Amino acid sequence: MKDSQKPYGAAILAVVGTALMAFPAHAHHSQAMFDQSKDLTIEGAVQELQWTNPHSWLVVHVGEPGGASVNWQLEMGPPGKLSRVGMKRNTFKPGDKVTVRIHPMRDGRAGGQIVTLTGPDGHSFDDVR
Amino acid sequence: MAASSRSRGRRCVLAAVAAAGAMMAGAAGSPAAAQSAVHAPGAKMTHPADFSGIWKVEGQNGLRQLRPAYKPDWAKRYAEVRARLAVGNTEGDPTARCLPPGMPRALIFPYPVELLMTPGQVTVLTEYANEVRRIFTDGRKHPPEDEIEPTFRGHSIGHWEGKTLVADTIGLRPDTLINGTMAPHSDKLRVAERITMVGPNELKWEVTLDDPVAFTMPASFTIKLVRAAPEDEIREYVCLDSVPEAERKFDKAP
Repeated sequence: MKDSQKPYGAAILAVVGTALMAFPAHAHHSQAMFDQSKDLTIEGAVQELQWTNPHSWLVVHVGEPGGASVNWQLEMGPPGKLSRVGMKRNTFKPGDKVTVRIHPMRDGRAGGQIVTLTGPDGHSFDDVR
Repeated sequence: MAASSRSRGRRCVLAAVAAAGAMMAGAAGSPAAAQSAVHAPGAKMTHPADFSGIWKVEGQNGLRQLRPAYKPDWAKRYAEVRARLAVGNTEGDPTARCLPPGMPRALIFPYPVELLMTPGQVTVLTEYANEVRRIFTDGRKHPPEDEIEPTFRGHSIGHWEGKTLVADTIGLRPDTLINGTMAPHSDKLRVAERITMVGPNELKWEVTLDDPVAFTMPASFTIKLVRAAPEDEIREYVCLDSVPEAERKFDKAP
């Protein structure tokens, strides 16, 4: 194995690093649309939990009094992943106040990949991708 | 070909009737009788080890990080797709279109698999992408190379060496990938697996990939399966259910 990698040398090592960081095992679309180097924390109210394959999505409404009203589309893993870290399809209900740490989208759209999701009871889910 | 298909079909029907009869007889008797009826209708049908159950896949990094030793033109092609992937272009990745990963990439995903042992066959049901893979242990051969129809899971035949199931898979689609690094292969990829129980709750799954068209040498890795918790069930995984990112209505970030 190691021998077979020798001809590629340092270039391979660099690529391994990038691939592991940016592309988790089940990349249905490229994870490159999320900026893995940036963390953003959002506080808002759950509008909808879409409990679907290959990705679940949490739509979080952030509205400031007199300010902008934005729905964030936040991606997580599939139900099979989430259920095994203790989340259920009814864990988050519309109106629940949540704090979500995300890797935001690179292109300025209000979306991201969830890193940590904390619900109204203070419980955090941090292995949801 | 048609004649042999027909006779194969007839054999299968006979085997199924025999198995059903044996199971009915077993149901009337003790559970032990049912067990032996299912497992021992004939020499070819015997499984010397019982892998049945739901298993969690662990330790897939050997496959995730696998970089086969490619011939120069394939190394060039691999470098090109990797460069595209680095800027977010997943063109050429079937899973990006919700198609199955195929073999051997199906072994990578961190979702359970269910193994079924029935006469003449070991069946692998994967949660990820709802795939079904049949490893025929009834003594049949692969179809002739010029007749084989490339598929995502390929054509798998197996035999037992002691308590190790030795499986051989060919007929894999060349538009599938070996792993998420977009490692390519030709339609001559051969997947050799040796599956051994190393305790009541652990399976060792040794895999060797050889592709005389694309590789300069075979590549090997080992994964481990451990028994899932009794309450863990295989979930449905229908891939095209999410609203795709392209059709999602995004607000502008503030």
